[in-house]
Amino acid sequence: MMANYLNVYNFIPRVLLFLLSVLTLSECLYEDQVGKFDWQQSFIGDLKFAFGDASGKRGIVATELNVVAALNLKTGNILWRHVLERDGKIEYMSMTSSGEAIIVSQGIKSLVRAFDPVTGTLSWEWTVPSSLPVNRVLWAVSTDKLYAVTLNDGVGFAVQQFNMRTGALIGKWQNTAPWAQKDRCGLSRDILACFSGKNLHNIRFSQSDVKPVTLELSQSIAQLQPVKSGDKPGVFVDFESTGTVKSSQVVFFAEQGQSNVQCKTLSSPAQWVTYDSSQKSNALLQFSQKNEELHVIASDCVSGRKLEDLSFSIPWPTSLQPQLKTVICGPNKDDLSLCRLLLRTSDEAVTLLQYIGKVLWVREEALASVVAAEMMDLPVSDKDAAIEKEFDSKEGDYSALAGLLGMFGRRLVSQALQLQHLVQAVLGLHEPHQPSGQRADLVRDDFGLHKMIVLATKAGKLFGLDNFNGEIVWQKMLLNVDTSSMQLFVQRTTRHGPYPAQCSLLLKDKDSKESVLYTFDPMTGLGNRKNLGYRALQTMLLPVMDAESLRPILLLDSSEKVHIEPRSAISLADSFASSLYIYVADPATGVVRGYTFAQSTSERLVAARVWEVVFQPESQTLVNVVGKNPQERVHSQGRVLGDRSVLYKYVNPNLVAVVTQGTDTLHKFVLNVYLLDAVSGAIVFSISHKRAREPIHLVHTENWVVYTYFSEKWRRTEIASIELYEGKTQSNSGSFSSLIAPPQPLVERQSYILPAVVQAMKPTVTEKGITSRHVLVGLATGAVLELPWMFLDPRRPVTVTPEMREEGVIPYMPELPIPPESIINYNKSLPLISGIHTAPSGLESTSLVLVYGLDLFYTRVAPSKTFDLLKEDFDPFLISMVLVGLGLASYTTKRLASRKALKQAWK
Amino acid sequence: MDFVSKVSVFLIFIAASSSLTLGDKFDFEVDGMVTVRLMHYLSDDGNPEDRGNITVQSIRTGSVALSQAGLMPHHSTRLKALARNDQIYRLQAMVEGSNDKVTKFLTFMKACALVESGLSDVLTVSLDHSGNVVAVSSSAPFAQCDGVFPSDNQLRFFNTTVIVKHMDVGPVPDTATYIQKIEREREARERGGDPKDNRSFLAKYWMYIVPLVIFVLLSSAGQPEGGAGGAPAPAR
Repeated sequence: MMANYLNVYNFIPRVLLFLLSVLTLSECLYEDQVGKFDWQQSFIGDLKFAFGDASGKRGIVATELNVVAALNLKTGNILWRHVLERDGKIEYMSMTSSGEAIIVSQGIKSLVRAFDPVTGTLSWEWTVPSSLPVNRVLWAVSTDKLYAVTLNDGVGFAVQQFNMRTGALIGKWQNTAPWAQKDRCGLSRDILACFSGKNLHNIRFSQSDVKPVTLELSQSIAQLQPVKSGDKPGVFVDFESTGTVKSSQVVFFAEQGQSNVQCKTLSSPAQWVTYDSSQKSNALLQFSQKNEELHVIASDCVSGRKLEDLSFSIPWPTSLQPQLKTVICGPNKDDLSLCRLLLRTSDEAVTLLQYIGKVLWVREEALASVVAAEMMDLPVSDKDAAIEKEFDSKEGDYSALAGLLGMFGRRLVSQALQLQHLVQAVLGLHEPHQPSGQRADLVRDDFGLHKMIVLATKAGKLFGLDNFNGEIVWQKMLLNVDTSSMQLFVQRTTRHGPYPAQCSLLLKDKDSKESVLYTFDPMTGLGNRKNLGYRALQTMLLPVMDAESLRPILLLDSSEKVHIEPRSAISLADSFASSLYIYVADPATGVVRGYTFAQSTSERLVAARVWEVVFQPESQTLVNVVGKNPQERVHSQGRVLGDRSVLYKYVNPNLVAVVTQGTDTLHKFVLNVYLLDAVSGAIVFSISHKRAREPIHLVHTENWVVYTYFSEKWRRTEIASIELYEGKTQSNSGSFSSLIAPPQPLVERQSYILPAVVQAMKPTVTEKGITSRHVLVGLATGAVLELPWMFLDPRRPVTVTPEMREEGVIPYMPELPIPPESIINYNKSLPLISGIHTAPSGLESTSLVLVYGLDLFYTRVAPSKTFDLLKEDFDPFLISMVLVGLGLASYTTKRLASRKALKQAWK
Repeated sequence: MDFVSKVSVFLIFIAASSSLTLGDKFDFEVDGMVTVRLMHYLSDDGNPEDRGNITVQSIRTGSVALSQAGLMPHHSTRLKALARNDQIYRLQAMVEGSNDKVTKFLTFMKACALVESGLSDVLTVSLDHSGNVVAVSSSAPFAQCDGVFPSDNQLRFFNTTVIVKHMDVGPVPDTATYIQKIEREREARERGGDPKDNRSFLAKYWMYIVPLVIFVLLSSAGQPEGGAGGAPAPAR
């Protein structure tokens, strides 16, 4: 009886504790807060195929990111969007005779799908027979048949004719064509055209017994594109360039009773063929760029005469190369001047051009492939800058008296300015003030919530976005760059007085593959590019600032030479080179190598190898190396246990987590996580998971590491957490040194089941690190889960002891809950999440979050609730009225009481 | 070589305090042997010189045999010079595992730490999941650099401790224990939860009733005085 009583007594608080933790930790949003702190921008990716629907109101597009969408041609907004299978690739898109968009996508299974252009609903879907080698197939659609033309290099081609709706194989035939190769052929209507040297072969593939026709052109051919418009089948041909001269031609193939038509040779490639009904002939559209202008030239095919009324020019930046994807005309096809041109430009933007020469809209699709992100504080307003200047006196510049007078003068000026602002604010005369040619509202706010989001994209384009509404403030296109690896550094924030903020982007040159550093002001995007002339292996921001408050970048090149940017910082770097270490991991050989700079002189920085760790490539491959965010701060040194003793955290700033994927004959996949001290080269801790494999996502902050992996044994995603403690005593409370052998940390570990597929993971970060940390997990469902660290705590006990309860540790549950209130993007699903960026704000409670992937989503989270902010419904007016009322009431009652006392005394 | 010293076998596992969960150590299917040839650099530039050999006889148990030559007087002078200039002492380890492949590792420590601890150092050999050596790293047990050098007599032999470190086995979500716990709780509830609590109403809820009664008593006792006073209520 008693035992039972105790058990219930035990059980209730446990449930209560759990409920309490769920209720208080989850940060839910009220309905009226939707869209107040957050915004989402949807994208489609780099345009691959496009056509206009029959009404001319919608553009149906398919992109490199495996997305099919319909765009509203008036506004450029997305009407509907489908993200197809993750590892797929859209091979072909066309419009069927009944108006649907038919799409062939390659993937684990190749599929043929058709979507209704108005609603975006799936009209039909069937799988392509797996016997078809999809890599070598060209696709074509006629009335209700889908042709798959398989090119057997050097032999011939095989045609399979499918019923477009059902996928039933109707016909199948072969033909010999020794010149057929996929990258040298194209399908235009029912003609297969290929080239070899100067010869242009064409054959009608829709029938089985036809002989090919060969045309000999004037020059040898470099490239061939099929013509998809006009009234005849044909090809755009680019000739091999002779020196700098490039030429191209359009050839139309013979139909019944006609002969082949070779148009006049052109100096720039034609982009489109349109049927000019007045002339009863085909007209060609060409682009040419001259003097910051884009000329769209229409010319007659045969004579080459320029059709003046169909040609126009618009202002256009020289750096952007346009590519015409489609011409959308709507129901009245004859009048070309009513048509619109859908362009894809070299910066991956989609532009719609009205025929007479007006840009209707531009979609910056480069934002669908963000690689690196940073959030920068905005500069202070002129008023605040004046106040800052007042206290920023350089001593020694003046004599004592002049300095005093000068300071007094500055104070008078700044206070006069403040008075002026106050008067203006009171009288409502607040005029928008333009601080140094920027937008008026782009100044730092009181809480440091307003920031500039700097994004570097795969297209080589940089963007500056206002974090309040996602508006593009500036953009900058970098030309001739290889964006396969990019790193963004913040060299100087906006806090450093007259100097503007400075960021640097490290990438590679497209041709030489040598490193390129683009140094720019993150508020305007303006800056200069420097070709470094070597390949950087590893980079590091120096932990100190030079005289101009700039943090120099240290680069180690492939021949182990050390460089520093700017070069003038060399003596600064030398002054504390003895405590400077760098490491390089080479995934090919599995060697991780540490260097010291101790042998440097003030003229030359030298890196000398000091440690080497080898992850043998035969038994494991390096997957990822994750260090700590150098900006992060750890506020509490330890953790208070139930018995009031302190368990000190092992906070080693030099610790990096190395993830390797091992192979093993017995367990197939082995996941290893090593915690490596990057200064001393010692392996502090290592752990191995059997039958665990990629995708692996790892988060490393403070004294803990959290990672997710796929458990091959149980076929589910698991999340493991490791926590390091020094113990009950702290070895060195001042500063941490990796070289003075720190004690081996005590390691807590635990793992949980996460019933979801993880795509990205990042911890929240706040200004001082007082606020508890949450882990943001981007899921494949498009949700971003805010997971409190408390749930991942490896010290969660299976059986709760009173001490543990005292400490506030939640009892262990193997499966982590995914409550809908903790989904920070509520119903705004984010497809294909590729990364999450978090940044501190001026408020300790608040962390700013940007989720990127196909879409951009920005919000802010407060892991420990907004403890430093008044509630929104806090009414200062009401509070002051109540206070004044109470004061008055107490005063009157006092008077009344004294009068009454006087009266009673007289009685 | 007359000063060959054989240091006996050291076998150390990293121990954690008993209040913390200690993970299982990785166990290998096949035991193996690892030989390590140590070479040290006694100047910033120049070639490494022989220091000695370590044989890990069994990677499973971590039993180790060490043979290291002592330092010649001119070597210890160079080592002391390194220590005096606050330079580093680098150690190269050529590891030959069971697959006859030689891998080179490099590690370092502050020369002063080595000298001031009287040439005692800790050498950690970390193994991966299949028993290959991943890292050989050295550290001084009492790494303090006070500038006080021990006598030359104490700088003749290395006093090396070798630790063979295995990987820990990763944790697995502990569903079984949790289900058992839930089962136990359910059973306990079924066994003891059903019979009614046969204490009286008062015995069960006295903690609610007593404050209520006190409150009622207090408020009724205060009323006559308040009525007689007749002072206006303070404005709210």
